[in-house]
Amino acid sequence: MRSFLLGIFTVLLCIYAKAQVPFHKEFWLNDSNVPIRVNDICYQQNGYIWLATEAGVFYFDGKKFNTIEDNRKISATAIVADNGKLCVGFKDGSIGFVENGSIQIKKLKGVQIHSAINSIKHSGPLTEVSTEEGFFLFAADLSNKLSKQQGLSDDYVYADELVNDKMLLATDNGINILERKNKSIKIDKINSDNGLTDEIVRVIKQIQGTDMVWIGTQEGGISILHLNNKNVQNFISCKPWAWGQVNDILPIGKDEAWIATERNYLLKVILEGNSLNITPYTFEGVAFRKLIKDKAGNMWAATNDGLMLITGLYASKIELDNFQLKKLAAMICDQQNHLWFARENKLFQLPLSCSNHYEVKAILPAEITCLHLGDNSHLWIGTLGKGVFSYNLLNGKLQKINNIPDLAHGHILNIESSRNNLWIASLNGVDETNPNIAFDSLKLIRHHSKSSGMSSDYIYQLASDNKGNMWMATDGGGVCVFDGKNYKHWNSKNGLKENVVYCISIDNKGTAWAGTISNAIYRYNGKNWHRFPISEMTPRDNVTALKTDADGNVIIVSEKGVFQWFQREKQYRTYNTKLGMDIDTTSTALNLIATDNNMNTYIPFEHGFIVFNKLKVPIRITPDIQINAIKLENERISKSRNDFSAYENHLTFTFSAINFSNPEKIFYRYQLSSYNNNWVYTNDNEVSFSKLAPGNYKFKIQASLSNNFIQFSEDEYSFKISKPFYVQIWFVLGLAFLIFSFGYYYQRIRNLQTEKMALLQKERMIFEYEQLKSQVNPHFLFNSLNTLVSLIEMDADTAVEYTVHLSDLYRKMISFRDRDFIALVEEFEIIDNYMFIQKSRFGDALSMEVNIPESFFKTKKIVPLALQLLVENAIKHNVVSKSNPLTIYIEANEQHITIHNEIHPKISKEKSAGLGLINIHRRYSLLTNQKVNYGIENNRFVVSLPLL
Amino acid sequence: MRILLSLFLFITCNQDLYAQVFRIKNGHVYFHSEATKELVSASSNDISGVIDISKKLFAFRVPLVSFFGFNNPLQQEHFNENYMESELYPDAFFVGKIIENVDVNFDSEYIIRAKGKLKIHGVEQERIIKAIVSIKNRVINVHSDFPVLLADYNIKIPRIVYEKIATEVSVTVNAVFEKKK
Repeated sequence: MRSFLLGIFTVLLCIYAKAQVPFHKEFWLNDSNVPIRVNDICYQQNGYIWLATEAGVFYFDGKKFNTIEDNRKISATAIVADNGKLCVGFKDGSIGFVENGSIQIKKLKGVQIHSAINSIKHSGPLTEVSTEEGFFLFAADLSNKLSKQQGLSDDYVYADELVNDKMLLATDNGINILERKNKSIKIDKINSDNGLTDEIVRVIKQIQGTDMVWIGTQEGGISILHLNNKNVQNFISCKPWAWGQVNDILPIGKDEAWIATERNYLLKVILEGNSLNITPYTFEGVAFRKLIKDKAGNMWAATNDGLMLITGLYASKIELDNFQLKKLAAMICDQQNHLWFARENKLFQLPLSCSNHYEVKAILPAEITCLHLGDNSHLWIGTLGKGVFSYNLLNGKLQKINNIPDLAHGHILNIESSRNNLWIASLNGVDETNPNIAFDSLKLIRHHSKSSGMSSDYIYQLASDNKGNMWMATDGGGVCVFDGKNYKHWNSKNGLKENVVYCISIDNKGTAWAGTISNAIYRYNGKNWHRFPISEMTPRDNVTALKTDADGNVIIVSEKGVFQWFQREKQYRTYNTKLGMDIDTTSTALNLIATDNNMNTYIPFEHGFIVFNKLKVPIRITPDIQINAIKLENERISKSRNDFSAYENHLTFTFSAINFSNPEKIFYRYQLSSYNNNWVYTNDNEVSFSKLAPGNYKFKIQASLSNNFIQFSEDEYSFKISKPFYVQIWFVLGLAFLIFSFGYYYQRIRNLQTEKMALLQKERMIFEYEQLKSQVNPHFLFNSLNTLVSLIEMDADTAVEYTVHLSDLYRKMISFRDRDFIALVEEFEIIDNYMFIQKSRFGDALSMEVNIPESFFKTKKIVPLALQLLVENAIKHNVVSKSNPLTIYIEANEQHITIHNEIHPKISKEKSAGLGLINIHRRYSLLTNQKVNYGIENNRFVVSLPLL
Repeated sequence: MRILLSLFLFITCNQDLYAQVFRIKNGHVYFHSEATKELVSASSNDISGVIDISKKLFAFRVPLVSFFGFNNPLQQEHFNENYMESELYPDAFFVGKIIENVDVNFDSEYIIRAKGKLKIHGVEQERIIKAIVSIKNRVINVHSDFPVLLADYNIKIPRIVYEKIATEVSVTVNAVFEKKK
């Protein structure tokens, strides 16, 4: 029994092994191609693939692997990305985060981990860690350890999965379902009693949007656990499980999953009702540890040797033995999903389901040029020189159509159906015919040619749309469409650039797509044709085949490779030699492309057929971009810093676009707004700006697969360079305030001074007036003249001398009066004159004693007439007689000159304005800060004037 | 290493009367490596081990110097000095747990998985090793064949003898366990 089963199994394996297989490519993590075991991988949304390996943490952008510095040199065993935050688990039980290009080890609070981390999850504040000693939860300051002691069925936890508030743990002893019940945790166990095929459960993965999970075990294969009834669903196709230990499961949609196993296998499983359809793919010597997918539909496997890319979600291949691409002329898929293709005069059939065995089904008398599916059971075959044949798919009967004479020996270019009519393009136009029920004769309805209004007689491809229009790709006449009555043309004169159109295809929305002799495809939106050039092609290359797929995208074949146009993203994905997946040569024959019932598209290549699978999950091919590092004067700085001083104006940005499908064809452009608002296109992934002026900047970097940047991804970084301090507003304002206040102060001082001057002027004028008034004082004049009269009588000589002194006194008083200061010597000249006059009157009763150092006379200054006034006052106010002589003392030191005399007040006072002393006081106060002091001291009147 | 040893000692010294602790009465370890030019094989009878059926734990130990039966004395010397470095790492251990349930009260035959740490040459590797367990009159017979990849255990083979030694060594263990008295 066992050997019988094994026998069947071996046969099944053989069939499986030769079906469609995905393309794959292996990546070495280092240049020396030394294998590095990758323990875990994760995909950072719109970013890198991160790898936890035996040699630490790596990240991959599609081109290059980069390491994250970690001096501890400890194997990384688990990694997870949560909103751009990377969390890594290590072999020694430590946990770290990737921050600014290095690992920051997290200090665990509470419980500690001592063993290797099997898996780690991180969401918001919560970190979930599975290890061989139990399951750990860390949240902010809280920590918790769950193990056998707390009621788990085993200490060894492989992974956890959160499904609708239930935490599922995969352990060596079944599954533990943790659920919050009131305030405690309830643990439910799922093991072999519930139907589990193996106690060692290594993987639990939720089927998105359901309460079902895929279960992967050590040797029991895979099952599905229904959480609502805790029922384990097992599958017959998994018994016996021949593919080894399940290491990871990648669910795709609700009914598909990819399984990674320890030894040699990747499995594609599809849930069909209650059965599971398993397709194994063998990779000899590869241990698959983890499996993820990126947004572009690539699957990535962590293996014992490094990283592997698997295209299984969007492209695969059918490798055929002894397959010859050369001379392949036509291909088509029938309703039973058999691929028919023609080489020379032979018609081949290849069943697509699960085989790579193809065989000759018919041999025609002439070379086959085209194939067309008439109905479920008939194939129309066009030939070179022998017209049209019908081929019965059920009984293999071949029938030549002879009843249209022109066609019987015709060279057929293309055949297409529309509204029950069969259109046959030959060298001289198109015959619109109607086949009979037996498919053995055709009735000619109409002949379309240049004479009937078509733009060309030579049609490469016919394509009917669901409105009954027939679209034609013509040689020299562009695109032509016939709506049942009229022809409409587009050529180089109205919308197309080229007149030679090789292929045309109508998508499921009725939009026409055309491929031309040049390097572009066209899309007709109902009004205009839009041209989408392919950058890998030169204008001399041709689009040889083109077909729209189920997702509205277009698959294009040319001698430069195969391209897939993503209509939503307006970009091409390229399949050529550069991919390193053995897609080197494609056929140059026209229109070699076919679509099967499941909307997979087939293209022949050197090893067989490339299959573009209908997408189960949407994919996006636009490259992602990230600013990796910002350097200030070659010093790396944190991205969170965006304020710089005026002198920190040399910035370097390093960025990298992430594209896993076509890393070689990324276009970059950048802009530094307020520096240069134009986009700068570049191939480098670094750009420097030096001597940036102060201001606000925004650095934008974009990446696209197409140089027209219709669709792109973008990253940006805003920053500010401050103005130097001397142009900063606070400084300018401060400076202005300072200047203003200085000016104001200066002005004020000047005003004060002029006021003072004016005042001085006024005082002087008053003084002069007073002085003059006093000098023409009638008493003085009267006394002086009386003295003079008596002198003339007694002593004429003295009288003359007296008169000279008198006139000298007046002359000097007049000449000094408008000066602010006069030398002491000058003042004494006046006093001498004055004293001479007064002494002539009072005789010996009046005397003056001057005690002033000789040097002072020339150096010291005094307000003019001040001393004279004081002397005059002394004589005026005191009795001067023989019995009471008056002696006036004048003394001086460095600062002051003092004049004093004994007080003998007159009984009858001379009339006086009393202004003399006050006037002196004022004049001094305007000229100097030193004060004039006067007063009575020991019955002496003392006045002291400052000497200047 | 300390954990392993303490676990080993813990099981060995466990005096719990209710525990179903079985000890190796006699055992035999044999390995052979079939390289293109030379077949290397040796065996040892000096294997010690315990199984705790109720706790589903086990521990094995083999001193490497106890291996005999090499092709020649030089080979044995190379084995101990160059490859296994027996002075530094005198023993090979296998300590862990049994996944499947085994009932010793009934005579029966099981295929079980032993999961644990296999430590050779100072390097510890987690292994799941299958074994055939047959029980007769409360005596446990264990038989197991498993491969050991030399690279996994950091055992380096000089280029000159590369063709003489395979990178993978097959190990066979046979042991009879009796309940500890």
